[in-house]
Amino acid sequence: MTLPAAASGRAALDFDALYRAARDDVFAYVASLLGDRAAAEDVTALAFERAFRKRKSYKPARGTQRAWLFGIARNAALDELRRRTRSATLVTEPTDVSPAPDEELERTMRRAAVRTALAALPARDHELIALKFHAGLDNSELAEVLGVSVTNAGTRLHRALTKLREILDDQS
Amino acid sequence: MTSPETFELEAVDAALAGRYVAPEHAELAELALLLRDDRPEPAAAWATHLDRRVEAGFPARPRRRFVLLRKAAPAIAIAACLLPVAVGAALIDGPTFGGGDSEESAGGGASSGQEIEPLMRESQADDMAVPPAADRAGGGSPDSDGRANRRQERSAALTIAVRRREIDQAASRAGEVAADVGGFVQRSSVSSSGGGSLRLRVPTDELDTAVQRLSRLGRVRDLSRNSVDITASVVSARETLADARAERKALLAQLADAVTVNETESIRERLEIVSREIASARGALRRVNNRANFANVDVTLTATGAAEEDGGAWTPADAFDDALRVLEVAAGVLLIAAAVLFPFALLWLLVWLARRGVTRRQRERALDMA
Repeated sequence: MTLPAAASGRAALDFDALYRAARDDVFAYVASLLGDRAAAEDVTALAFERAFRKRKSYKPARGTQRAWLFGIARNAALDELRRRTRSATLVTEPTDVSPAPDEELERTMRRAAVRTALAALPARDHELIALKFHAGLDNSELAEVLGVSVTNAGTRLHRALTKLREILDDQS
Repeated sequence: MTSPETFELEAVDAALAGRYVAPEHAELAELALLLRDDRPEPAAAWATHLDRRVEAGFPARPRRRFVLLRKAAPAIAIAACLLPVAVGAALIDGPTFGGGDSEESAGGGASSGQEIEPLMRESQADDMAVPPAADRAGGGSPDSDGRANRRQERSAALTIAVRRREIDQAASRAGEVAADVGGFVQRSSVSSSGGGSLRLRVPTDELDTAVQRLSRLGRVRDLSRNSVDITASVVSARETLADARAERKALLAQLADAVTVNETESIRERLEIVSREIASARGALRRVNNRANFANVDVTLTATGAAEEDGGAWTPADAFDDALRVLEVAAGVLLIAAAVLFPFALLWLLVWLARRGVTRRQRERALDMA
């Protein structure tokens, strides 16, 4: 995808490259957090639009471009959660019921179990998992997005993984 | 973090990166890969649509409620630009260019030597109508004197606006005018920065000539002429002197006929008194003649803006002066605006910070409640 100058950004931020590198990651994080693909699409688009409008305000000294972008996406996703809280609507992602081949049955069941366990995690832990495994952030980027130290981010991530494993153990 | 936690996190990173993972962390590595592989993927149609929006630079969608505001934006911008200029022009026109005198608004402006008449206020007074104390003492009525022999005390007052840097030169030229017509500068007080005042004494017959020449020194703000009929005072002074002279003549005749010593001494004492009266009467007559022969011309010099110079010529120096003045006014307006806006800006900042904090807490709460 080639972007015009207006979109690629003449400022310090290379919005074109950032968009191409992070579009799917941002969507994965938001979709995982919200559990709603349609809402995730809207929120992801909104996040990129906000990032585009605010691209000149990006300061490299305050973190990486990805961390800055995911901070914007996180705020947009949390705003969507707030809106849902106010409107008291419950949105659930429909479960994938497509039949799996026999050789992948065990793996599919395992994936379904993980998905169920993930849904049972508290939202904060779910968010950590989404940022780490769905968005592909490393621990330092994760720390920047959450506004905590790298050590604290690692500790939180480990706790979330431990909880996830405990839920999986309980399910089995 | 404790070491086991660190090892497990390193194992997760190794698994995600496709590197070797120790057997004791195999289950954790499998979980990490399952999580990664199960991440939601965007729909191709949506991704294409978003790509197009990004390519277009996220074209703004017009908001209905701001349509009128956007249409009026140029007018608002122009008004915002013109407002400081108008305020500045008003401030400039007030204290500096206008001179602040009421005569300016009443009589209007006039170039030097031109349109003096509308500015001129001429008053004539009969010293019998409002007789000075000295004139009342003299007695006599102007009605009883011949019209051709009437004596008048005349005076004029001019307010002349000149450029600030030309005030000294104008004052000097005013003295030259007085000298040229046979007069003199009775007193002067001139400041190069704020103007000044002069009192000229010029021969009454040359008063009009002097006023005409003085009017060319700058922009005439105000011109007034006054005349007072002092015929009665002149007649009274003459009669007093004539009476005293007649008395001295009679006393001298009596002295010549005096026989006794006492009579002679008495007449001489009276002669001394009369002589002093004659001297006093001569002085009074001289003073009243001076009032008739010389006119007072009060000249007030005021500083004016460069744009009001004679003939309307406008030099680069004047432009610089005006530009400096505009900058001064603009700076003053900005300072006042800043002083007015500062409390509002502070309040806005506090509200913004509070709102930001509240929003942040509400977001985190929404995550906890999800």
